[in-house]
Amino acid sequence: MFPALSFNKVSKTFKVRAKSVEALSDITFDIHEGEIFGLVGPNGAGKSTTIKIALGMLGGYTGDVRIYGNSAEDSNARRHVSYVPESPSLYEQFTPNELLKTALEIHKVDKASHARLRNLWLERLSLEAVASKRLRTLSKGTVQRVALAHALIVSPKLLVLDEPLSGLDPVGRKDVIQILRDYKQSGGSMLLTSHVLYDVEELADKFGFIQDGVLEIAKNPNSLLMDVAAPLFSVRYHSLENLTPDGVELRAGLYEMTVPQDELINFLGWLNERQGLLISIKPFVSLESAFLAKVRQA
Amino acid sequence: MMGVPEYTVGLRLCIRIGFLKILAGFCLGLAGAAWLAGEFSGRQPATVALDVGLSFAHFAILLLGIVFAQELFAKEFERKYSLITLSYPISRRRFVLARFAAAYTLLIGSCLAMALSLVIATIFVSQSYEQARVVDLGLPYVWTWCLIALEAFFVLALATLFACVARSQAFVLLSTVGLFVVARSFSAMLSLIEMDRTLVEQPGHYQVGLETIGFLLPDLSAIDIRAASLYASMTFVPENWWLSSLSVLFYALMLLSIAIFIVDRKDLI
Ligand SMILES: Nc1ncnc2c1ncn2[C@@H]1O[C@H](COP(=O)(O)OP(=O)(O)OP(=O)(O)O)[C@@H](O)[C@H]1O
Ligand SMILES: [Mg+2]
Repeated sequence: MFPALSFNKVSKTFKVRAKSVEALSDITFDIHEGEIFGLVGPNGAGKSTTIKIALGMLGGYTGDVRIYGNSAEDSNARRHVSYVPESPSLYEQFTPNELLKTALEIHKVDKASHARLRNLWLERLSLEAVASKRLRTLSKGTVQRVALAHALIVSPKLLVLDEPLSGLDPVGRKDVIQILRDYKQSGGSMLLTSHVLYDVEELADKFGFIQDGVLEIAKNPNSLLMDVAAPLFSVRYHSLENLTPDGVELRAGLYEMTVPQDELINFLGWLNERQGLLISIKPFVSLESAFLAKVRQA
Repeated sequence: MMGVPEYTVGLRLCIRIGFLKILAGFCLGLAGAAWLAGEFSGRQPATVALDVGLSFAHFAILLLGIVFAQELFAKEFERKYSLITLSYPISRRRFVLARFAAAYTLLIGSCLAMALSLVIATIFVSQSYEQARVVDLGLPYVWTWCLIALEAFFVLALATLFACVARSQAFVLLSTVGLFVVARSFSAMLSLIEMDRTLVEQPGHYQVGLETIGFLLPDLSAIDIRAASLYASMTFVPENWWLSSLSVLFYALMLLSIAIFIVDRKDLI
């Protein structure tokens, strides 16, 4: 059984005038059938480059890339693959209906089921109301949902999503995550990227962290945090007066403070007594930075 | 062909930019220009009407070819539609060929529509006037249009090539029009210099330059056989027009192959 997608020692260097940028260096990973691979990294890390090589859009790399055992350079390898680019641009003079029809035709889906599938996916992504409007007139979030419907309507075996959640509001986000979860349930494989772990955490079975073209794979991202002694949290609160000299005033009435995990409960009780208003608690050492610290050590 | 989805998408994209309206406008404009020209020319109004109409058609086909290439290729890369289009399980060669075929289908359709409206305009003009020598709207007219369709093939291939390398759509327009004008006129300039060597200083230089162009571009004026239809005689038809036709076809296929080669190696960024 071939993996849905496999990268074997892939390196890619961009040459811009005299300078050369190593966008990927010696990347190796497999996405097995039914597996969801979350690729996380900051801007310019090499996420999109990885995706474009997988889809045969970039040449001039070294190493071997295969989709279900076929070379990624062969267009036939993409028979069961769908892709949503980051901030996708879709034919703006088409309607969502026409775009979905095009996808079905190109993937040679049986004509008899076209109408049923179209209605199904328009409904699933709440696009019924805009189904026959020109894409030019739709909002960015709506276009993103159309792109997702366009990718899913052909029942792909491998779904490739470049930052699918960026640009969505909380409700849209929840919908999309639910849809991707259903896709996972149905046995599909997926490669999705984000610049924050938070986005891919609930979906992925396997995590890749990439920076400056270097990739590290982790089965469980939280294992990384265990290495960090006494986790710290950054707490924000509102208060009318400065309750403690440790709190840094960010702007009038908004304070931030770093609290170790074992003191967190006490701190919250103390804050409550003084009628401070809790705004947020965030891990001070993020998974990303813990991870990257580890990569640099290696 | 209709069963090939990339081809249908190509048709749909061209029709979406208002192709039918543009074509209707061209047909009316062509008939109107032909009729006016016939009306105001003292002698041989039908010949003049036909001549003006055919010139208009060459121009219209050039513009349509450029617009199609911009829509189907330049815009595709410029607006990054290609990220999705070329992620489909379709080879790049097939993508180019299917879209080219779609655009060419519409160009052929345009030729038919314009040929018909020109016939109507010319008949209309010749009814009101007596002309010593009548135009021939039979086989010579059909052949004239067949070669316009061949020119359309070349123009579309040229525009497609430019659209596949272009950074901007204006580049496609300017370079295609530029090379089209050169391909249509260099042989006329060449014969002009040969006829009158006092026309320019150092005519030898110009001659060498123009002859070099002759290797790079086909001679489009050599496949313009409208004279056969205008004067109902073969006297003024370019010699060896069929040989020139083969050369135009050859050049067009070359350009198309280069376009495929380039798209095949293009990085989508
Ligand atoms: N076409 C290109 N020409 C030159 N350099 C490029 C090109 N595409 C990407 N790069 C470089 O390669 C590196 C990786 O870029 P890539 O687009 O893969 O990053 P990314 O992880 O997708 O970032 P983002 O989160 O901003 O989308 C960057 O340093 C970028 O500048
Ligand atoms: Mg990116």
